[in-house]
Amino acid sequence: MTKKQLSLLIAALFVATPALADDDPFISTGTVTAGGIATDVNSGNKDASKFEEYQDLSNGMLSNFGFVGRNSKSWVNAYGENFGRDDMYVNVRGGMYNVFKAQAYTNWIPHNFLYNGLTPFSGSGTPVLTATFPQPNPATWNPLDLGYTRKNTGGMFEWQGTSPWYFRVDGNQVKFDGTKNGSSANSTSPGGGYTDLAYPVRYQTNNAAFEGGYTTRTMTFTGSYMFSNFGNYNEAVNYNNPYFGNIVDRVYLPPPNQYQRIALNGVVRDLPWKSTFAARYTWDKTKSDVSIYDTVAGGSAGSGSYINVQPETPTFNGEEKRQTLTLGWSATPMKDLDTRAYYNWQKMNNNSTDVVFCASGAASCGGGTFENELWDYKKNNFGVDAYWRVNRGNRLGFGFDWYDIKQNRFDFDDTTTNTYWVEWKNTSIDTVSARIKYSYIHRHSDFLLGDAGADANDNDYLFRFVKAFDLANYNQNRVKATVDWAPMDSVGTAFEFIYKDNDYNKTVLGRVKDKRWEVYGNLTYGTPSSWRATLFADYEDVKYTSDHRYISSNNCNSPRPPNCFDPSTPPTSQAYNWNSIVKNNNWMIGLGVDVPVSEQLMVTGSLIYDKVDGSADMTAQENYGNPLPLNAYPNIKTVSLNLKGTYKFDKNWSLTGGYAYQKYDFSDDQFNGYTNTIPFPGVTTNASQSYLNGWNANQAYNANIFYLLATFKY
Amino acid sequence: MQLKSILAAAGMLVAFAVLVPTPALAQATGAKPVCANCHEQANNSIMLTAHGAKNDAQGSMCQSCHGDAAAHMKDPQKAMPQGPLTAKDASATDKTGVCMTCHAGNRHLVFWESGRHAKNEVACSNCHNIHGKAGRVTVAPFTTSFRDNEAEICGTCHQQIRAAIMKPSHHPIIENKIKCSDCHNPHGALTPVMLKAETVNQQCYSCHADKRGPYIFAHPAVEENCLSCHNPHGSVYPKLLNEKAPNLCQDCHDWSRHPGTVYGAAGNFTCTPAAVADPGNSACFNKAPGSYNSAVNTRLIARGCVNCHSAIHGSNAPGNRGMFLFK
Repeated sequence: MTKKQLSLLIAALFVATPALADDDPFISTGTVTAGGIATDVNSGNKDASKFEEYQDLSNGMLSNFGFVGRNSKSWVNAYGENFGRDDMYVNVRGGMYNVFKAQAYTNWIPHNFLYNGLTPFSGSGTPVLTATFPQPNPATWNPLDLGYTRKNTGGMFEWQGTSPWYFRVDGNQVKFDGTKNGSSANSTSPGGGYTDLAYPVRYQTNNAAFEGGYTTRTMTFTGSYMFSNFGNYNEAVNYNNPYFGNIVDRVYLPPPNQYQRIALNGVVRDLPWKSTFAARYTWDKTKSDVSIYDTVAGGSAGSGSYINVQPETPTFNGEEKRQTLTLGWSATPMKDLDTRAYYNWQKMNNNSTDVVFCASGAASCGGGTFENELWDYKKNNFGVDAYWRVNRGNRLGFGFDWYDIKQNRFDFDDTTTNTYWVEWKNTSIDTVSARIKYSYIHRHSDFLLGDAGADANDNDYLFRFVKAFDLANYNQNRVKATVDWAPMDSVGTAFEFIYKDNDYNKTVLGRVKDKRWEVYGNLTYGTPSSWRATLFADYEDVKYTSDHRYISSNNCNSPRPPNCFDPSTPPTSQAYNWNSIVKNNNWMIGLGVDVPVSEQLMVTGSLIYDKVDGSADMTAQENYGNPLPLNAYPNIKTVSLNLKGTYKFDKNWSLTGGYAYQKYDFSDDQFNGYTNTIPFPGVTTNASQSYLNGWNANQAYNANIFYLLATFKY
Repeated sequence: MQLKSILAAAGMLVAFAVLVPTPALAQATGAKPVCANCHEQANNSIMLTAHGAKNDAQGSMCQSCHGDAAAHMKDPQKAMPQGPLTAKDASATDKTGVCMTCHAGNRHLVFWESGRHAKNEVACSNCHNIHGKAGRVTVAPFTTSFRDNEAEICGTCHQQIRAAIMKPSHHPIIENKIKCSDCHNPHGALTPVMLKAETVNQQCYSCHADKRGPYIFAHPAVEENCLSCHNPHGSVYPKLLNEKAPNLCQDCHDWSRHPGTVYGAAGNFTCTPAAVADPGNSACFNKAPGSYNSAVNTRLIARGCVNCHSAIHGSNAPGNRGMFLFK
């Protein structure tokens, strides 16, 4: 829907509502606001995209409107803002009571990634990126901005006129248009370097859903069908590969897919023991069919050719079917005892094409046979929980959850997770509410690679010790405590503390521990006729600990020691264990104040300060490799000041003026000292040169924002 | 674009002035409820809503929530209406029961009893404020959106989430472009953490349809759970990652050569003081701190592993280009 069509729709609504009202007066209230915004951003000649990451803060008009109206039969509620800007939003709802309701909306979200970047390619934003390499001098490159706008436009209609039966239709279209940051390896070895690419983003997703059912106070039965079609105007990005002599290489972009879902829901209330029984069954299917390309760009440094990778089938038909069934029973079997029991079942069948490349394993075909792995699973989960109100001021809760996954993943096929928790809530003192909850999780997974590799001289032997943390055995302890205290009507305080630690106790190589704790405090003051304030502070500390092994080649031939793939082998400079601790702490403090200076003038202010300190420390056996710490990983400081004054001339007119200041300081060892080529300065004789566009490298900025708005309200 | 937005704003102003010349807040159809004789502000606050539409001269809508007011009408000072919404010791279940008398058949509330809010004694009145009481003061950066932000309500209890959405990498919640209820159903759901979809991944794919696949070569951790790598509320790391690459990747992947290599500051763009002092570091030893490092490591800088393994969510590239998620 274009901007012009939206304006006409809203105007027609205003014209039409008196006609709808007949002799039933239509009452309404509305506001229209218009004004301007001016921003002054200082990021040097660098990248201020972070300032406008999700908003359109360009100089120009700001506008919004709101309208709420009804008579005894019908109603309308409409709101729109930022007309003509990249972050426009309009939402119009209305209907006739107990007959129907409808909605139309559009919501635009910009997402900006990079301003003032550089690229050696021409054609950014298209699926063909052209350059003749080498390109050693970034001063000769093309300017590059990366970002896209996401536009979600849709509507809904719900028929309620034959209650308790209802019928509903939803539909929306989501369009992405622009570019985003991507990259590609230049060769198949890390030594070949990489090249940043501007991926074209032209997606369109069309969604439609139909729902109907029977719903009363005591029971509900509904069925729905949903269809979603994702389309991408571009199958791939084709670009000149700097390593393989400028041969045209390709990166594959997200393929089109279709998704269908059927859902059946049922709820029956007022059963014995004041219980409610709920059930949901879903079936869904995701499909994506693509032609399989049979060649890849390859060759040698400076000389490219196409390698036929011999796919055994020309087409990949991707299909995944899922079913879920959930049953829940909530009951109050006796006074002051609330219970719940639930069961979940999930199954996924992967009917996608099994694809084999290079069945011969010939070196000319890529040096191996490559076959995809199709993942499917069955999951069972049941749990119970109970809350017992011991007395007026105390409530205890208990719960247990059992979750079992059987799947055909290559490393784990059977995972069972048990969760136990207890909770105590105390409200004995009228002005205080306190709650503390402890939970313990134990996960056990059957590890399938315990016999990998023939012996400790075999590269694959290392897999016996590497466990992916997403399914590895672990134990978790988690504590959450909250206290809310309102010592008087106008004052409130809140305190929240969370501690969580995960111990991956059977993991030798990989993540072995992670820990997080966070504390939050909040103080509010306010009375309806006087000034109000909120002060908050938050501190979070996160730590990931992992163990790894470095072996300099894929065999234990000299200079590597025998049995080099066994972590317990004594270390040498060619094979040793190392450990990393990645930490970040984030603290945030904020103050907000609303001050009614007079009957006409209201002033509001908000100040937030946020500081992040990140680091990574590595240690190695015998200090081999002398791993050096990363001390800015990242370090970020953000200051946001937001001041606004609203002056009411009379009951209809008001003027709002505001000033905001934002400062964003960014330091990250992955980007500090950033260069557009590696090596730097660029050279003409290095086919392994990397080409970088500046994404995320120069994000620091400070900005002043001014705005002035006039509002008419009736 | 500037002219169009000016014309649009002016057009709306004219439309209001010409087409809707109504006086301020005329009375609704039917008689004014008797409660409004004393509680005019409360009546005005619901006048334009469905609650106001269904009210009558006897104040039936008022009494359905606040309790029988017959005694209160005879002696307003001494006899207050007694209903769960006004009783001091009313439980959350009692308060919710008032609203459920009419709203239990609402499709959003189908799974209310199964949800965490019901179990944690959250009542409708904890979040819904039909009389327009002033909420907490907003503490937030400037945004171009002037409408109320749902996260302010949820953040009243979910305070650490409220802090998380203001971290450097975040979904556009604070910018008012997406809402908590786009992913969660606060009125109850059968999925843990009251997600609207059956699984975390299906919830993420409802907006990020480009990640659905299926791909020829999938990344098992992605298929398992998006939250293995991402924190949807906010992160200090780019792309809402829980940890940076290469560290995040190395927490699952270790093998000979570069997967198991330690990536420290010796691979930075510039020579750190520690690198300059290290005789084993031939690229930086005895150089000036901050000078260019001739041994920049492409597996550390910028996006780490993803510089080369860019198809991290899955790939349709043939051969080993797809299997190793290069393209």
